[in-house]
Amino acid sequence: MDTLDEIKKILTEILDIEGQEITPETYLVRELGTESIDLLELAVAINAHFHIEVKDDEIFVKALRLHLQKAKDEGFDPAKYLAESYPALTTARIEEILADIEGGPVLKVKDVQSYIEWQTKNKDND
Amino acid sequence: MNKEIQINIHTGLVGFVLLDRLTEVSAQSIAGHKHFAAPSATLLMESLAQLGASHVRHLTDFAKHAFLLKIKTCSLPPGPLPPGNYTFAGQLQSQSSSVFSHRLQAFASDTVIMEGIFLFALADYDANFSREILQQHYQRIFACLQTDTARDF
Repeated sequence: MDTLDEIKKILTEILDIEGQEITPETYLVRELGTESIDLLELAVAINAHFHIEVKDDEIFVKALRLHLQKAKDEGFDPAKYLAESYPALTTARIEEILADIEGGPVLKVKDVQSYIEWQTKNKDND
Repeated sequence: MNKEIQINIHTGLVGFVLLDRLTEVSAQSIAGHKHFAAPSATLLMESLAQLGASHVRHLTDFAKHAFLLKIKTCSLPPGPLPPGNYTFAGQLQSQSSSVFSHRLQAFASDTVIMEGIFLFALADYDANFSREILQQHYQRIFACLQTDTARDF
């Protein structure tokens, strides 16, 4: 079972959404109705399942607006600032997020997947 | 009219620390016990929650406010609970930067009578959860529960 399938399985169990289609492009909050308590539960489930360090802010792209405000206040390029705050996200995904931010919470299944794969790679390199 | 309302909750207990002593603390586990004159499933569940939260506070050096986030699963005792000594054990199962998952068990005479998966979360101290009050309070309780002079709070 690959990373995406594992994430789907965990999400389905935590959110009790048997039968709902989940793709990498699915928004966790906007489409699946994930609440903050669900994300916290998801964080420990991912740690247990993948045996990786889970930083909640990074995996769930939390405090996004706070980071953007800080970038603005301190005169930094928003994309570069976000890249440092969320190291698992690609440059392309950060651009996508910046274009999408007005639509609501930006977190997608593929962001969680990216974080897991990034942390797994880091762990393997240690 | 700004009227303050005071609510008194009578638990029938002296204080609300439902552990008499912590007997074991490590990075992965914690254990303790309590003598109950009138035990109930609710009190045992609260003891388990206090045990898990104590472990989380210890692991994070009391730097943040730790609280019970969710009881994912918890069995209930098979029958009436007699007065006496109950022991509690917790095993850290998984964690993230702000959440800890523990498997917690209550024992009576070496038999598991209640067990469950409890989630605990961390939050920064703030105006509602004062660092000045809570950090010292929990550190003091934790230290006392590890000594032979553990007492009611």
